[in-house]
Amino acid sequence: MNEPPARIRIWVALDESPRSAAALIAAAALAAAFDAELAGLFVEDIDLQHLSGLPFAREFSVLTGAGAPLSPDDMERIWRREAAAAQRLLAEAAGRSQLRWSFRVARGRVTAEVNTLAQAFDLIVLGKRTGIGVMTVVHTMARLTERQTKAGPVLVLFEDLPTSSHSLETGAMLARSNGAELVLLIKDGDENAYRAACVAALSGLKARGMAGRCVRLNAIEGDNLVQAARRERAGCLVLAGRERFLSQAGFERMLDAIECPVVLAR
Amino acid sequence: MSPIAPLAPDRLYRACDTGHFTFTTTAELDDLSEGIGQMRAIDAAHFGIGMRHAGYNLYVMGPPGSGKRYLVRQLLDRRVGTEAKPADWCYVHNFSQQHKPRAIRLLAGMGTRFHADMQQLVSELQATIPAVFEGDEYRRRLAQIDEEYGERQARAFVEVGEEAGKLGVTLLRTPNGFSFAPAKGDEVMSPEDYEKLPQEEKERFERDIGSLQEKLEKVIRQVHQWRRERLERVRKLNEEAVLFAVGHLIDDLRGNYADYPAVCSYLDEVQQNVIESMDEFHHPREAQTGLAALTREPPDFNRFRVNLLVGRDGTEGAPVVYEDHPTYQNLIGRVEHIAQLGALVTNFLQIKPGALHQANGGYLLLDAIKLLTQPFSWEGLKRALSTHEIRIESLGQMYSLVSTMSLEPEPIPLDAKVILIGNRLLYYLLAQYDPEFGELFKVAADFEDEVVRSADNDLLYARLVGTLVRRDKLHPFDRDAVARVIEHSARRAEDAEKLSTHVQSLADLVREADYWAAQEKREVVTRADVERAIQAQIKRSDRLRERSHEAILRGILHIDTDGERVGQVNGLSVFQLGDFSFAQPSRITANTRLGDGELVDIQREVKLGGSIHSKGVLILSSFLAARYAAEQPLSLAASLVFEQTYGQVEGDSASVAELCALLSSLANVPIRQSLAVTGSVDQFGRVQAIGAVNEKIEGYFDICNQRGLTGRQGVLIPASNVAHLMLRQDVVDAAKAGRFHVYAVETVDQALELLTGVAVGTPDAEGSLDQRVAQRIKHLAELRRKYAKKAESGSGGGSEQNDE
Repeated sequence: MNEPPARIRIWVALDESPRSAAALIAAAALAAAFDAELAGLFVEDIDLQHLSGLPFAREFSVLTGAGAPLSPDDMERIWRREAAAAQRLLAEAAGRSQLRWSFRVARGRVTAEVNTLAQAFDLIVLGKRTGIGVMTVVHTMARLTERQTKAGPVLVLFEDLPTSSHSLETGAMLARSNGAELVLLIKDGDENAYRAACVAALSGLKARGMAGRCVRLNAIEGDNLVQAARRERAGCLVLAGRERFLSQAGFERMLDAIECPVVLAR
Repeated sequence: MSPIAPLAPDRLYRACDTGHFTFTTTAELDDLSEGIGQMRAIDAAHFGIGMRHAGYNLYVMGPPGSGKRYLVRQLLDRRVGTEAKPADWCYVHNFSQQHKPRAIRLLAGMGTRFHADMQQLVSELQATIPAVFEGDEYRRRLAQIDEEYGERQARAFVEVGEEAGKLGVTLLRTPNGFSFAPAKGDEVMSPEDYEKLPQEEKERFERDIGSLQEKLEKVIRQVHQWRRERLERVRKLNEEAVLFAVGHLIDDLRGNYADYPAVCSYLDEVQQNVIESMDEFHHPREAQTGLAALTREPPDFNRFRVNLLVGRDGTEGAPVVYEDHPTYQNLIGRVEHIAQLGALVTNFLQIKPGALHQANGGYLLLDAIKLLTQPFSWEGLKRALSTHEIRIESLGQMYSLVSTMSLEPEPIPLDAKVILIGNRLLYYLLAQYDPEFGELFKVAADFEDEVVRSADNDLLYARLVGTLVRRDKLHPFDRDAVARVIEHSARRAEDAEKLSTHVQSLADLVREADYWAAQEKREVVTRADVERAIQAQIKRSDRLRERSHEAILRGILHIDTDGERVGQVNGLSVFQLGDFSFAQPSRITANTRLGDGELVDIQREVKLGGSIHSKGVLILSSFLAARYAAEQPLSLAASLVFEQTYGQVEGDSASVAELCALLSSLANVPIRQSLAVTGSVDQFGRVQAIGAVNEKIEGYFDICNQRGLTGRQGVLIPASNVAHLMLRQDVVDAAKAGRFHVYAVETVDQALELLTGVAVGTPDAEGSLDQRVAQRIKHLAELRRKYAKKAESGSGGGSEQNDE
């Protein structure tokens, strides 16, 4: 934890959710591949702090439907426990791959914190579950789906931008380290342009000693990305030009909806 | 009365007439399969084996070694080949009551097939089911369900959130659920800002939030309902998928076993269980280490296996099972246990069959004594025969001795004929004291100990010898050798007119004769070889006889074989040592004096006399009183003793000798010590047959022979024992030469005349033995009266001798 900072730092937002654990795995894989430092961040949501301070604050359990008062002390206690658990998970993941690692706790909002830290870190991996609409059903068949020996594919959003090379490289690295398929999401309404972009992307992959396949995307919006990830049963989604996404109004909602870690590259 | 003549030598030994043998050696003879003279037993056995009704089990009785088991086995072997093969029996898992495994009956040979089919099914399930769940179609349909319910839930929360938004309230995800808070832009209003709101506004917020909370509660309840719906749809999808994958496999089996409703019913349960436990097929035996690996219950597909308890594959006809060690478990079967983490656990595969299972549909042979000496075996067998079912029960559980997990396997119907083989004593004890015995063993096959010695039976005996020779791959016997075997058999039967049916001793003799023939490099066993085998058998066993005779010859044990003595006679005692018996003379003495009629048996007084011996002595007392003091008190006291005996004396075969000693003492007439006497006597002085007559004669002969035969020596035997004489050749030869004699007597008077040389006569006949006895008794009576008078007048009397 007190090692000197590495040249490359991979930031991963942590909480107790399964997707956070998946994000940690993806981040650790990337850190190992890039010999990077793994930096964990636990965000104490400011909105929850405000909520717990209100006199009528009540939390309704998704398990029982019953409401119970929520005080600032309760909130502090929950955060302490969650932060300790997140730190432990991070240390274990880093220890397995013999990575340098660091952990910090911040109070605010995830997107704001990411924006704050975006300048200092090279990759951001998000699995944070916040907001509404993320009530993932606990599968009775979870054991069947969670224990697939084959990892879900790595999805890479490939655009005609300078940053695409970076996302392609990150995606290729993740696919290789996980033995997963690489799927390139290409947005283009025109068939010929899509084909040309696909050929370019695949040749870029070939140059990196990898292969993949292309999937057409109608629009680069949160919902489309979430649908594509679900359809492909993605292991993770790699997005380049992270500032662009972090500033998008619907990005936080996309994070809520998507079921795989999101890797934000420069 | 004319003196008794010695028996002619030809009456001392009945030689086998080889004239009616048409064979040269036994190699020419056919095998004998049904024994000799056992028609009664064989008929009974046929009847018992043939009767298929309940309770008609057999008790085959006869002396040990008489070939009962061999004969029964032969009868069964001839019969079972024509009988149908009984069913196979399997135990399978009971999915509804695990501790009660189900029994399934299948035609012979089908059990093995069923066992293999189920094994194959499990292998196929393990390969097929994971493939189904990894298939694209399954995953797509599962994703559709998940998406549908995920969207439905999200929409419900979004609607609540949107409604909240219209009221200026935001819906928040909290660590354990959801909550509402007043919004300020996109953020939650801080408590400080909230406090600054006007009271009406605060009240509105609280009212609105209260209303929203109610809706949220409804949504959460609805979500739970949807979750259950989703689970149900996933379950149906899984069932559908598994059924599609495995249904045809199980359907194929159903088709193959359509004639077995029990199997079809079992397969229905298997199918249901496969669906319920599909996860196990998908994730079999994941690697675990440490305590988790030890404590975890691994997926166990053994429950789909078949325990083929009894398979008749490769067998012919009905089974014939002989259980040599009929413990309860070996008989009824058992449930074994496996140690697991220090505990003993079990399952239906650990059910092991007993002899009853193996013999079901056929025959079970058991040795009665072995069965009865094994704890609980007899009760277990009776229970099985009474209920017509084999119910495996753990003795430990039955008696609460252990509390390990055990099973209650479904009982299997029993249809087996049980054949007990034992001795007569056991049969009669069971018949007397066990009320169930008669109901369960209705047929007794009683094997003869001996058969009449006839020309036909001699020939059958020769065939039996031939059969044993062939069975044991021995040298054939010539006709003289067979004759000697037959003669020895008569000796073994203790009857010149009977043959022993003791096959075991016969087989021993045949084998040993073969050995001696081989020693002499003979290809055919001769009479000399048989004789040598007999002598060798005796020699191996007669150490004690030699010691005993040596003690007599050295004068340590006092036996006179010449001269005369009053009140002293040579009796003959037999010693039984296992299979070998021998005899030696015993000195019996009598003393008489004035008394009040009491006859003291010193053996009895010191508790060295058995009850039969005492009975014999009391008969003497009765004889004396009846013959000599019928009308007056018997005023004598007499004592009898077996001199120099230090163990138990039993039997009444010395009662003639004792009576002769007693009368010799009374009459003061000496007895010739060159003679020995054996025989029992009744109250009228008639001499009765005794046992081991040959050994007794030979015992006395051996002593006389070693001291030197004088021509005066001999043995008195009951006339009714003459038919039992099969004496050794040297005794017969001595008799032929007139150097040793055997006298057959019918009455004690004949014995007395031979022993004393004095005619018994009558009490009135001058000089007769009877007159001397009568006078002595009369004299004793007078003395007694005299002493009685003196006693009345207050004065005492002298001794008998003084008065005489």
